[in-house]
Amino acid sequence: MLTTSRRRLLVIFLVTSVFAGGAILTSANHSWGGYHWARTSNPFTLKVGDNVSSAWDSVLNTTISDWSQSTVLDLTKVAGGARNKNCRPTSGQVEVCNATYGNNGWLGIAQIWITGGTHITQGTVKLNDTYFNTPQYNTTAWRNLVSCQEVGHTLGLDHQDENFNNANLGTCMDYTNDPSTNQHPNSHDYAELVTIYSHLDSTTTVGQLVQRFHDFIHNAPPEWGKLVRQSRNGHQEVYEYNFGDGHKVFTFVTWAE
Amino acid sequence: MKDKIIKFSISLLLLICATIAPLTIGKTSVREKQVGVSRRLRTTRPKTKQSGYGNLISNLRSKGATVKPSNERVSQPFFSVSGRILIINGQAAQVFEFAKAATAAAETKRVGDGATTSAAWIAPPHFYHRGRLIVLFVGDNQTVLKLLTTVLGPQFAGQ
Repeated sequence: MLTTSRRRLLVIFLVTSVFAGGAILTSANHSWGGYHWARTSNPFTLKVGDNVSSAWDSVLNTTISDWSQSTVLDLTKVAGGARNKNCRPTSGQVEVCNATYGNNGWLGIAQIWITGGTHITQGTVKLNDTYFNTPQYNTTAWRNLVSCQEVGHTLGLDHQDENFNNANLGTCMDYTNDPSTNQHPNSHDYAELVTIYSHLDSTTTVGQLVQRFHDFIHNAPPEWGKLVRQSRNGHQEVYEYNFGDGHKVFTFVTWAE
Repeated sequence: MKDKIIKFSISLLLLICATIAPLTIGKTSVREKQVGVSRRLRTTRPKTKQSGYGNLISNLRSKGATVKPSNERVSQPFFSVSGRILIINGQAAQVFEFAKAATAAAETKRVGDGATTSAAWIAPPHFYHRGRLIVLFVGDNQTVLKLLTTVLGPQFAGQ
């Protein structure tokens, strides 16, 4: 027989165990191999290249809106740079494409490119119309689930669950046979993004630098940066523009008479 | 004297011809042999390439499976070669045959842990590897899974 104090201890232990178990169940831990975009500040904005046909337009908008609810990142749609079925990647951003990729077993696939072991430099998402053109998958629910899941991968998220036959977790990062309640991210996905991006990096792989460089080369002399060298007659000058993070552009100017 | 010189020259010429001719013929015969060998190699190489796929079919049939090869091809962004669809007991499996076993082994790392592609599958994927072959079966047919495990060993990636 247990004494009263021992019974109290047992009750306290069981209650503690239940809370601890609950904590394990609710914690987010589905980072995809620690992969993440390098950036020097939060929140950061990631460009999503739109290469999809009209059947996917509203779905892609939903996906972008869903993931932008994260407190650490925003997605913004830009004109796609992929232009073909192969879905050519663009440095610093994510390209989303759709095509009939064949009966290969996948509805969508995400691919990321890595530098320095964990830093994502670019990503692509392919949506397979071979399946989405069939009555079984040609539904908003299936399209939302797959688009959301694949873009989620390019942010550094893995699946929360890979069992097709258990109850839905209410997230697009969950494998299922019934997409009805798995069309969008859930709180665990947003929590995991906070975990992944809680630190800052000393450099960035996000496309802002590319855009800033693009802006730079189309601008007038004041944007060339500071004058760092000048010839005696003033005909030749060298300007330095510092993007930060060790990225500099030197402009060599020879003035006409 | 002049006749002697002419006769000597003709003899010398004949001697040179007699020496060179067999050498030239010999070289030609050697070349022909080399060509013969390379032709034989060319014809035997594809047979060697076929053996991985062919062996898989034979091994599956020996385990009681109904196997139908198809002409349908399949490509996956994570493998460098295209695959063939093999119908096993009415279920489609994707067979990727590589030129070298080392290449197949290297490409197993493109799926599973550490990979940089991730897919939304229509059903649970199962990846098998043996020698020059990587086999992908997307589905949960237990008979087919058992057959593939028996013939190829345990899956190296998938669910």
